[in-house]
Amino acid sequence: METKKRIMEVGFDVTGDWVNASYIILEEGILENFPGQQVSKEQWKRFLSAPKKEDGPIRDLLYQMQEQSGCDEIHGLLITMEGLTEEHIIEVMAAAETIGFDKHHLRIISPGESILHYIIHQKKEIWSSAVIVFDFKGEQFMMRKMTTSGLRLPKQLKITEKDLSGTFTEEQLATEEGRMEADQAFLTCIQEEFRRTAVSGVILVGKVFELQWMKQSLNFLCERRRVFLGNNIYAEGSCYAAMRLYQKQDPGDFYFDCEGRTKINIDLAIVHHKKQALICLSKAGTYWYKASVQIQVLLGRDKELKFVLTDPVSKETKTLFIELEGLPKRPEKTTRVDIRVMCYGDRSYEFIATDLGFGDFFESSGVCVKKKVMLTRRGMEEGEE
Amino acid sequence: MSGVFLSKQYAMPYYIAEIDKNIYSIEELSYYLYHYLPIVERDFFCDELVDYIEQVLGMKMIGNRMREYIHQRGTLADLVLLTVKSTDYFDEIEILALQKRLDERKKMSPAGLALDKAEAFVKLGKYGQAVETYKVCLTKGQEEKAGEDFFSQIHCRLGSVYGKMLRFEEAEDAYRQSMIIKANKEAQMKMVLLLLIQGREAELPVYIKAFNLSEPQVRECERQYGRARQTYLQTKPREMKDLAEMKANYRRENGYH
Repeated sequence: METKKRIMEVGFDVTGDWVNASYIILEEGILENFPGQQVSKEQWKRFLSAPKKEDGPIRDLLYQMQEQSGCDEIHGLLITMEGLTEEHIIEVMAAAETIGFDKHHLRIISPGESILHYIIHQKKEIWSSAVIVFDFKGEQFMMRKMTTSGLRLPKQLKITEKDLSGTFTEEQLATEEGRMEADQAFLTCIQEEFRRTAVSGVILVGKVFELQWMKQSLNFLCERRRVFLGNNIYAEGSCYAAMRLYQKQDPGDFYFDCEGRTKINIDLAIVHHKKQALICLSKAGTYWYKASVQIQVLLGRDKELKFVLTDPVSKETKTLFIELEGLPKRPEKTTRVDIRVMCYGDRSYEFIATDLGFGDFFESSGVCVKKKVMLTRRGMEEGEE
Repeated sequence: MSGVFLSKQYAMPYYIAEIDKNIYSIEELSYYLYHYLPIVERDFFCDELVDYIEQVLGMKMIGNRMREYIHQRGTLADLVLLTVKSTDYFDEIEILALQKRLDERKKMSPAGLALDKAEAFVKLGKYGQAVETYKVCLTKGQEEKAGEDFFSQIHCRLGSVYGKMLRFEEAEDAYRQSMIIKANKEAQMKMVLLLLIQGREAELPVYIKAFNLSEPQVRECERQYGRARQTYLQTKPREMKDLAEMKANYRRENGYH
């Protein structure tokens, strides 16, 4: 009798000095943290800059995890990292491919998104209101707040970030006086923040929170809310995200509004079955590095393309027209246009329309029109190239 | 119609020998059927085309229906309409117009269909295929016992095509044949034009007298010649010169005089 394969997903957190790793066995839904400090940040950087097929530390880590779990296969790898730039993503994808990882089974997410996945897998009472994560990493001290809104589906899960670096320092905690000052400074900071938002859960990330220096601030934090230490939340969040992708869970139940995910729906106006219709090219909440699309259309009488950009939260809509100036005169429906919507980040888009002609009947004129759209605080801003 | 339509161009082409062009999509196939209808024969719908539609364009249902029509002796009209209706490319008015054209073609004689096809080849600049099709017209006309007007007209048009191919002697023979069958002004004037093109002005008076051409008719021939010459010289004289040389070489190498 054929036995069912045991499959696991691996989550890496590369936001700190060491690569934290967790895995989840998909059939059983068991999540395990792997003992830390196996791969340092330097080793990770070396792996990215010059990956080799037999790369030691990363491969060893994966082998050890597979051995510990007793799984037959590592299906996917999900990495939480800061700074999701195009260069970083290409670098990570290339390095993972070098050690034999299929890039289609690799995802990279921001710390904010990892928090979202972690939290929605906790008891609902913890995230009945906002959840705040304080993440102290030496010089950088970040506050990430998850809020939910919308009674109808998709429920919006939003992460807002605030840099609190300088509120207190690790050195301060060496003396009694410094500890008191740090406690007071942190208390002031959280009082200010909590005054504006109802908070049902707090997660403290960083070794610094394990030291006995928080008195007033801890008392305040624990008032009618759940408080945790969560040093592995990014790795665990990665595992939950990977599991969600593997199980192809309905993306319609949540809309993830965080760094690394696109912010707007992009639709193209077309004629379908003789009626005007909108076709969705890119949905808000898609990983931006997977959100670029390419399609082809035939132009009717008009020589322009109409895109509708919608913010799913504010419902703000912008209509973007791309006029294909300089096209040679041709009969209706004999101009095929290649449309590419390129995403260069979660807030930066480029629309490229190129004349392809019409087979051998009408040659391409080579006309190509480009337009850029940036999402700023003022809204959607358009620019020509 | 305003708006844009979704349409995909595939990398693998399907070659249509009749027009020497590749198509890459169902819309291009529909465009060919609609705009080149006179040259589309029923055997255009063959197993290779069905394989292309099924395997490359991924339209299995249309492919299946087409195969059924092919093997159950469906008509050309059935096959053309099946194809063009499989996309949003043509609207209802265009489909109705196509339907009307297909109905009209059903009533046409084989010689009439061949004449339509030959003229479509002329418009496309496919003169070799046009000559062959005009010859088919003559055969079909004989089978149908067509009148002298028909044969005279076909020979005259054949002469024009030979003229376009710079095969002047064959053009002259065709015009003569047209006039032998039935004296007609169109062939006579084209003959005069042919003489002008060849620089045989000295022979003109004999022909003008024989054809009993009026002064305005002769002037019209000269005007046509002048206009054609002017166009050659003004637009692409160099290319035309090269083309003439190329054709002269071709004729020499292939034994044409």
